[in-house]
Amino acid sequence: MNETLKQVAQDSRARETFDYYDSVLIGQNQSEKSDGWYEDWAALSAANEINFFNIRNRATSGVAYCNLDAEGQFPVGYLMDSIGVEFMCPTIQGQWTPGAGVWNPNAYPWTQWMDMLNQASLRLYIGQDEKFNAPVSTLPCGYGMQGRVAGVNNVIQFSANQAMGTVLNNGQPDRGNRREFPIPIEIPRTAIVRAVIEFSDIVRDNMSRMQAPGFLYGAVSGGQVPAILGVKVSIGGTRIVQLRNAQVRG
Amino acid sequence: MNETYQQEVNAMRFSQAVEQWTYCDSVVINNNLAAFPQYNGAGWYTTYANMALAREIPFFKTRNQAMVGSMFCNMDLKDRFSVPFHLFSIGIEFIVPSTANQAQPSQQLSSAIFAGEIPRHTGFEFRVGQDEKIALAPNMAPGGAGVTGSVDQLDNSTVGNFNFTHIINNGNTHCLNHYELKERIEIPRGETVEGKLVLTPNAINFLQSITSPGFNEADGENPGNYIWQTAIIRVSLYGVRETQFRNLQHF
Repeated sequence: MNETLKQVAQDSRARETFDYYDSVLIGQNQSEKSDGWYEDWAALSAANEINFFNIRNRATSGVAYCNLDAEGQFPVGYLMDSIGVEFMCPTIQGQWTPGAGVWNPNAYPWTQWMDMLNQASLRLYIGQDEKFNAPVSTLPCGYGMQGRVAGVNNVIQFSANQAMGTVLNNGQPDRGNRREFPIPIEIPRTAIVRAVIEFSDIVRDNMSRMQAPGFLYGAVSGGQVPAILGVKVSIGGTRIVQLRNAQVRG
Repeated sequence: MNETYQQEVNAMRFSQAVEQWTYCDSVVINNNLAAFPQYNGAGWYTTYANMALAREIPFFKTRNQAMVGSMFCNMDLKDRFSVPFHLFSIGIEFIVPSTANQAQPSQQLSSAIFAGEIPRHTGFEFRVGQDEKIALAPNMAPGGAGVTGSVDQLDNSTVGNFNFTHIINNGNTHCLNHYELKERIEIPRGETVEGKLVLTPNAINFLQSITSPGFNEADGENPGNYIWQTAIIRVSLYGVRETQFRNLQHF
């Protein structure tokens, strides 16, 4: 390649802010399923670890849950400067066993879910190297819901012996509140990327006895709203892309 | 040293890099620990009262990643650092279950007492080699991590028979909210370290008086399906470590 061509290639290279993320959902009544998702706690308990970035892409899961172009590889060079893990909870408490009309003894899957993150770790591998290894609770995602589902005196009225719920969050939903890397981690183009979340044996033992996330309590009459929990790993940073000349020169 | 070898050494020097890293170690309190023999020897406790008997609770001394898993401890070695580490900040978390204890529903606020009072009535010492580098009360070193929010009972008059609990956190759950060291602490490779939580008589009294984590209150209707609760004290060291990069990554 002569110098002029090399210069053109350099000039047309651009950086743009981009987050990559991937999610695992848990719930037996979901409308869609994707690889590596779980129907119930027992199935999740049986998994030694849950994987991200190497099993799904945006076509298999939908861009709401995964925006990778390729499974397991980054199609562009990437400078990773933050990471966050979101534990997704249903907004209101569940769950109501359909048909039987009985209260589920594991009525608080979302609080259990929040307890579980205290006993989980995340490891990030780039190529063959472990680049990150820390407890999940130290990795707030910096986004998500926060708020409250009010009780009888406000908007939603439940029967008097049911609890009201609050939308829990692992950290302040503030974009500044992510685990930052002052020294960005370089991910070369086509490098293998894999993130792994592992739960403690104590949590997995508990999971094996919890009833599957079914439906939310207080669903509208005639319909049932599925309870869906999930965990999303997001990495933030800058990707290095090739712009087409027309884009650069207008 | 011949010239070729010197060139190799220089190349290694160039490939030495720093990367942000967090070392952590945890003490777990769980009444069902007997079911997990893999944790034998981890220095964990089944009840708060048992922990009170210890009076001093060591960190970075008795556990490593292979022994308890990286969610509790990510040290390669139990009591020394495998790479040079520059310590920038420290966080101490008191983590409690989000639901009340079914076994002792009359003492549903034990978690709040554990997370809210114990950090104010204990001391924390951190030693590198033979030198004490940090001494403070844990409530001065918020963990900066954890869950925010609460789960409430609709009608407080029925607290006694259903769930009423708040998730207590010692500090704002913002990842920069630690005890920051203006002058960083240098920990050489292979150096011994030790963190130590020292209980005061007040803390011992609290721990002997409150109910320990048992099983989730919502399990009361289904005693065969207990969801065991866990309390955790975690010390995290935030900083950068020096590692050897592989040349391939550079080029």
